[in-house]
Amino acid sequence: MSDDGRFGRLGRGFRRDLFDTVFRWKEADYRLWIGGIVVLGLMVMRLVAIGLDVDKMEIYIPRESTTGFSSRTVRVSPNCADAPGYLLGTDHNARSLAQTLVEATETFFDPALLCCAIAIFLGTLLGALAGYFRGGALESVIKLFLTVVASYPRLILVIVAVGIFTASLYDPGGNMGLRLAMIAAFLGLAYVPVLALAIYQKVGSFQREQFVEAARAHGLSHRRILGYHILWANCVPVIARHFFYLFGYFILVETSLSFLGGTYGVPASVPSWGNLVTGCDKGSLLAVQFIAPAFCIVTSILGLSFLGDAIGEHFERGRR
Amino acid sequence: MSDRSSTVQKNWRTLRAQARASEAGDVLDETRLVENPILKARDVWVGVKVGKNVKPIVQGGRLTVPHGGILGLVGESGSGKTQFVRAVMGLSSLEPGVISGSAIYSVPGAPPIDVLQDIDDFSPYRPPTGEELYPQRQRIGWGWMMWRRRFRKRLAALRELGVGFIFQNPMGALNPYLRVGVQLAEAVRVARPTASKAEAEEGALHWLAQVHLKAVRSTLALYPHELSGGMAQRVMIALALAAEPRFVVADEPTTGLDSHIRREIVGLLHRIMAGGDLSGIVISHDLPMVARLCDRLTVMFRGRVVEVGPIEALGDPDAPNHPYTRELKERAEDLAKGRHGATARLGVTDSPDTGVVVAEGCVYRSRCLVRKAGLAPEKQCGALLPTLERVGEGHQVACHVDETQTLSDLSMISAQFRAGEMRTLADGSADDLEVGRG
Repeated sequence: MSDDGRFGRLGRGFRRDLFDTVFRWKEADYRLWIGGIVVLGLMVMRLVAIGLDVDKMEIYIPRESTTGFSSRTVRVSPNCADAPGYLLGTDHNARSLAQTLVEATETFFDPALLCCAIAIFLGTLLGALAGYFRGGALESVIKLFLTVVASYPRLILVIVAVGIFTASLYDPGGNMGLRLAMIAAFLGLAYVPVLALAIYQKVGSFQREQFVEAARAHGLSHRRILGYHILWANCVPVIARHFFYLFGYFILVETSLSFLGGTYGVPASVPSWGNLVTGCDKGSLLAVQFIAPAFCIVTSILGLSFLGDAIGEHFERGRR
Repeated sequence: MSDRSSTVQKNWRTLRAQARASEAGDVLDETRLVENPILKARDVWVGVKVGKNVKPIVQGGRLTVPHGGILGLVGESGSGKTQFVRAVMGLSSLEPGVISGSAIYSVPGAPPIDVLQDIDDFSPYRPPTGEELYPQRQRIGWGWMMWRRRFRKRLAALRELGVGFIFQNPMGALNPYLRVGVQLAEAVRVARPTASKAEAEEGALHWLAQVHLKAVRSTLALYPHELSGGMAQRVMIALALAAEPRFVVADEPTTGLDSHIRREIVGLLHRIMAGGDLSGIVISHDLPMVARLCDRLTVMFRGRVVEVGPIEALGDPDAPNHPYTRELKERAEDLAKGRHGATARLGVTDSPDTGVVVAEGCVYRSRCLVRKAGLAPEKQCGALLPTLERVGEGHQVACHVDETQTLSDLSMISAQFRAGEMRTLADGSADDLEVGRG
């Protein structure tokens, strides 16, 4: 046959899809670009952060006799904007600000992934089950659970849950990893209703489609129809969208809690974009020490939200 | 006029003769049918939920599909054909209290499967009585869940026995986000769960070749929206065949296709269904297609089966038919002659009143031509539900009029109405004709 070679096998088709998706980004809008750059930047920063260690970073000790008296260094000491040899100056711990910003990605990146994993696992499972088995007792129970969880304000839920946990510890600052994991777990849990309801509606709308009925008529199992025909073939964009939203939302929550201080988030000794902006006042609003972490926070959250939006608009419309 | 009408009927006859030349003399009679059917559905009631009540859409439906035989299920839109067959195949969404009856599939060498077995014990369906058109749904206990579990097991057994379903709208019945090849391979794996990925793909290729698709390999990599209507229908047929069924239901397989593609699809279905020991049901409005594909005929009107018979009853002008079947035949003739809408002048409305539930008497009486001509026993038609009475070899009709007696009168009535219509049309006052709405 003449067109045998073009897409001879199914695998070829998949490669064509991938090619189209990657190289037709010219048609995509600026949000995909910004989001992609932000995600790439975050990943690079996270990789660089592996090689960095807070304890081994050198601490800047200003020699005022040589540099002279600067009014700014006095006001935000030890935040020193013009420390020689430091790209962005120093942070509140007198370490290099640029290195701290990179190192701070370690604080939220892994917990954010954990948070997304929890939310996606539970949200997809509950939403899919409730949407697929409509009208049953299972749907009622799941929707009740989702409503109860959704009725708590998300940030308050995280603060209270982590606060109770922290209060029961002898050394609250000691195990930061566990506390971040708890923040991640509770935020993931608090986000479950959002994702679950989105999946619920999506699956429910497919329930009325004829192809689901046809798949049943052809003798496919419920697991196969739900897992492959509905979730895998049709719901991945929804999940991807919420993954990026939640990633951005976790950065927001982590930096907010860290901004509030060691009682809620990470203590000042641990680098975080949140506690880097602590201590900002009217006079130092435009200082690079505060502008730089604020820029990081805003750009990453905005970029991730953009990416989520763009994915939603581009892929959930369907291949038409 | 009579010349042309007889040509049409002769065409049907020749088609039938060609189609069945190989099995000449093998006439399916009622006794053999009853003894050895692959599907025997009796007294099937199907309703839809309307609040706490049930609106009946199939009332006491019956089907008999012989081994290796194809049954044509004919009736207007909304007469409950599809719902009936879906219920019989266990594809309806099972709400308690909306379905009852029995549908027994039997294949030699395997125990018979009654898909709806014992359904009345847990989800009793109450047929409408007297004034009460929409009966209340019955309350059910925990037994219903147990019944559903057994129902699922029976469905699994039915799939093992091999059933396929060709859907009305192939574009909607294919998953828009999965490649044709993937979906076909999946269907192959249902029939042969041990098949490897390569074997499943080979199977997909094989079945696509079976439905005579050109460029088979490249079709595998296409998405459903990239297919044309005819291709999609072929893929749909391949999908139904990939499960290696013994029993296939084609639900209006040619709807929405142009006449050329339609002829090709009908030819394809004919090749598939006539060869081998495939049995099945063809649901359609397309009488010439039914005449070509099927051995037996079941006519439904407003949820009731009004006629059961050999397919020859459709082509034969001398056969005793139910008045509704007669109307269908006349409509098909009109279509063949290009006289669209002519039958509307015969007192037939173009929009069937699908919402009407007739609890008492004949369901067809409001449109019945015989009754309009004053030849029907008015009292019986209004009060008594006609049962299927034997009028010929394997041929039953549910009508109070003795068809064999009034046959000549019937053709006369038809001719009279036609003549009247022609005259009025010539007068140019077509609007004030007797057009009975319901």
